[in-house]
Amino acid sequence: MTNILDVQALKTEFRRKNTLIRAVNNISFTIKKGSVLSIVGESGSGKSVTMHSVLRLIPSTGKIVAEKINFMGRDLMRLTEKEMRKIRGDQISMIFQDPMSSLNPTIKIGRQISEVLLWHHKANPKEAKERTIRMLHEVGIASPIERYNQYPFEFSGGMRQRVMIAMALIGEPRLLIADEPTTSLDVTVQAQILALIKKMQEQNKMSVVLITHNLAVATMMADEMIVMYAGQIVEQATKAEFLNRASHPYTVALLGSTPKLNMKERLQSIPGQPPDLKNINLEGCPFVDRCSAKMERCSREEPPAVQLSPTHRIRCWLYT
Amino acid sequence: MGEFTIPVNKNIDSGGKPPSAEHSDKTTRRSYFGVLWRRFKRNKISLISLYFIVFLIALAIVGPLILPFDYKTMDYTALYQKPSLKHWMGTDDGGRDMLTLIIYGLRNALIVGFGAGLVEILIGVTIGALAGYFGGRLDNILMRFVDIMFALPSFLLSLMLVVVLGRNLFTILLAIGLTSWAGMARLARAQVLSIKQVDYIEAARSLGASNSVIIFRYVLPNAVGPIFVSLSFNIPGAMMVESGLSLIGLGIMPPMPSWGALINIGSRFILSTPHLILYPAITFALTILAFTFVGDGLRDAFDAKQSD
Repeated sequence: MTNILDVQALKTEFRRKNTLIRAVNNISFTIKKGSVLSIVGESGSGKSVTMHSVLRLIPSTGKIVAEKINFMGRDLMRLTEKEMRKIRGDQISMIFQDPMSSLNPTIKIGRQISEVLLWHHKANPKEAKERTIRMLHEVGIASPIERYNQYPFEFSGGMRQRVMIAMALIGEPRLLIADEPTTSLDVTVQAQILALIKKMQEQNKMSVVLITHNLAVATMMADEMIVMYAGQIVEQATKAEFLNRASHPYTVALLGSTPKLNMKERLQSIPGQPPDLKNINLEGCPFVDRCSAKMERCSREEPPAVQLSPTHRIRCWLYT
Repeated sequence: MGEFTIPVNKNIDSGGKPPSAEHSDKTTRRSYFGVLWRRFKRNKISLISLYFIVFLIALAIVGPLILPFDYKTMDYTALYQKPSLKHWMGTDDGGRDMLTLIIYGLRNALIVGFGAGLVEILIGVTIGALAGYFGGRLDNILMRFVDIMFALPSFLLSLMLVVVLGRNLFTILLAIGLTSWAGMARLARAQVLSIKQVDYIEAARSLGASNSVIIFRYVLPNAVGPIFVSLSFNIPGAMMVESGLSLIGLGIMPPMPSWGALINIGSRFILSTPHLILYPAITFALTILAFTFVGDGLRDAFDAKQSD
């Protein structure tokens, strides 16, 4: 399988007055065509910023540096803003965490979806309307013709997320970035939305990046997993390797702190706080303060990337 | 580590026919403006005021066409007359029909009020939206200019503009509009700044919307609420300035009547023929009050915290 996205040495920094925040610190990863990649990590670990950087959608205080961000043979770092705009929504789309605030309350649902096609000159208004109605049906919205003319406030949270998905997929993108798409939905709706994303992914043969802090969601959907901590990728593996041979102490701790059904013992937690990205220790491993297996060299030397298998890579001194 | 419980259903083809629970909520057909109107209607005083303003506008349009008198012709056989069947509001010191003068005054006040409001919106919202949307240095430059406009006494500035531009309806509304948009600019900037943070802006950008689409389709329509509310307070404000200019003799050229000029003349005869000041002053006050009440109603209607 070929790669649809190849990110090499990506760094995203935010400068505020005199502090430099390294939100994403030198990470590299690839996504295969038609596969699902899950990025997991705590809040502030840089998972969202990573994917926003790929689309070059970060606040103006931020700066993106990368060796390359190769998307289907084009280096996104070298494109102008105008060329980038043609890629967004057409080749790469994004859905967001909060469906309640992700739709413009003043535009009818149908217009809002079909406008994406018009921005990219992919259809005339009449075709756009037909395709939108078909798409609304695809994403599981009943009576799409009536729904076409309704406003966002007439939709429930789960329905709005379906609309968001329709809006993201109407341009038939090759890559969908789902940034915590189910975090603000209740559990039954969550399952439906995930099933819908999976269905659309298989149907359109597109690739999906799923950003989440919910390990169950991540492993249900993913072919491959990335675990991020303090702006770095600490472990990268296929789903099977992740579930059976998780190796980095952070990943192990994360899996250990996941509640399971019929669990008798007390739920484990990871001691300490996520690191403050403002004064992060660049010398050693960012996880050192909370690590249960730390060694002396961990706080002095940056851990190397260790290849455990062709598809399994971690950054830890334990496995050198 | 081997076993990992997945609490969600692995069945992946439920997307086509989701459970009926989500669909069962019957939504009645209503539009964005329908909801606004319903909320607005709840405030009876605002509703009555709105009807009153509509009536005034109709009067200003139809009145001059059907009135038996005009505002120019003096009648020296009928000076200072008390209200009668022929002259419902009496006559002034030139024997002109008071009702006719008030209706022409109303027409002029409305033209100046709405015209100046439009000028304020065009300039204020453009500058405020640009500053808020693009931020950075542009924001700094534009907002310092706004600060200067805000600091200068606008009435004095209007006066000077009137002197320079001349004294007809159009120049007066321009003179008022050009000097009082600073508040509107600040409001528009604040609105744009807060709306810029909402998720749907980022969502639109992530799907390839251009800056102009985001400004005109996403930001401004969501900012209109407070801007309209502010407008409904600025229109009577502009009317007051127009009357103020007339009061000191720098308003619309006589004999074209203006409320300010009528009040000025009436004040000279306040003891002998009080109706000369009473009628214009009362209609003036009622008009201003009606706009203010409509503004209150609009503010409540646009308040998202209210239930629909």
